Amino acid sequence: MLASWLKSAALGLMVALLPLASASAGDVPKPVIQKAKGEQCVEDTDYMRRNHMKVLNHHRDKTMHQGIRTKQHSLKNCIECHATPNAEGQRTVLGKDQFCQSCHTYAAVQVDCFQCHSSKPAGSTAMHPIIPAQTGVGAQTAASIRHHARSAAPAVGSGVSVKDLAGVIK
Amino acid sequence: MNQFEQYRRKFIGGALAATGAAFVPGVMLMEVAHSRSPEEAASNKNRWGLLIDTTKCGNGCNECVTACNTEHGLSGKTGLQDSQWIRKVELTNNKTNATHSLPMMCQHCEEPPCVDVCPTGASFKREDGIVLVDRHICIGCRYCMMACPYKARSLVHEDLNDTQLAHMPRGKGCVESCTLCVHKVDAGENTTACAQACPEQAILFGDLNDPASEIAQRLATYASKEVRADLGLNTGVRYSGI
Repeated sequence: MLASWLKSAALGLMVALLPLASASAGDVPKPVIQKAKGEQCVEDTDYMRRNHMKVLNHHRDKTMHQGIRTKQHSLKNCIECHATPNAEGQRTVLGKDQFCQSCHTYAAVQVDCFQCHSSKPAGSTAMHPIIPAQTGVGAQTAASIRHHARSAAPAVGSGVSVKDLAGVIK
Repeated sequence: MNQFEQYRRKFIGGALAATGAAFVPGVMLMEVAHSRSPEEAASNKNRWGLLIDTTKCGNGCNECVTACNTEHGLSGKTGLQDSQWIRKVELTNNKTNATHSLPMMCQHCEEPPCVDVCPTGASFKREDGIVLVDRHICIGCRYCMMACPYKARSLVHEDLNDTQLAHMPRGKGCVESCTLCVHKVDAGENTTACAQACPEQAILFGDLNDPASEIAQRLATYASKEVRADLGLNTGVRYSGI
């Protein structure tokens, strides 16, 4: 008797709270799905929403171990189409409201790809901070470098210590 | 038709036939040298390697190292914790004072010790002889770095903060080394950044398995050495002049 009363009370409470629950669910912003290049994705859109990770993993192993570099399922190709300009005007799939991150934040799934892979399309590295400009020693001709180097006393140099060499050359 | 005209026609006919005969072998060569299509897997028909002529390699010249850094987005720093795919090694014979300089990178061994010791299978040799690290599997234990007799591998110690190049994914906590410019090989470019950059053409890239390739012919004609040949690793990178 008590159990059935509790059950109905709980049910009543749930019904009473339902509008509250749905109201708070509505507060979670829906992901922004950016318009990609082209008319159609490489597979059906519904299929890709559920299975893009499987497609990518399968292709990744084939590329890595067998050197198969077809474009259809490559991450590079995904980024090529789906990268859109961010606030700084840089085309990327990462960042608030950008293609990958927007959905992954909504679904609370961590996206690990970009710990190693570039989130920007190929050819967007003109302003790459890590690549040194071709000035200084790199721009000198080899002959001038050699002339300079030969005039100095012959020594084991260029940042490699004798200890390093000992294990390398016999 | 006079006699001169007849002679002229005969001559032109003969010349055309000769041209045709000269072109046919050319067409055949094009077919033999065709690159792999993107759908085709790398196969053990090829074995890619380098031949480095140390007599041409200049002391103090760093062009190959710079080109490698630029190609793969490496910082170019040479500290103990920085990635170096090519190290420029300068040697001096203590008795004669003769100096030698050579680039030292992953030697792409046929029997790679780094593959033997890898606990996860991340370090592997591709069918065409290129030794790579599958960073998806690498756990950063660095056994391969200890096993490598050439000090060819580096661990990425710091976050790269999305500065990687699109064709060269790299990341913190993974071991990496020379890939023999595998992205170029797969694209059929048949060269490496270091070979392209060398001002003396001291680095020659090619297929060791193809007897018609320049590298195989040079290896067959001139003396060359494997570094630490005593280990019996059958390296894909060979040196002449040391």
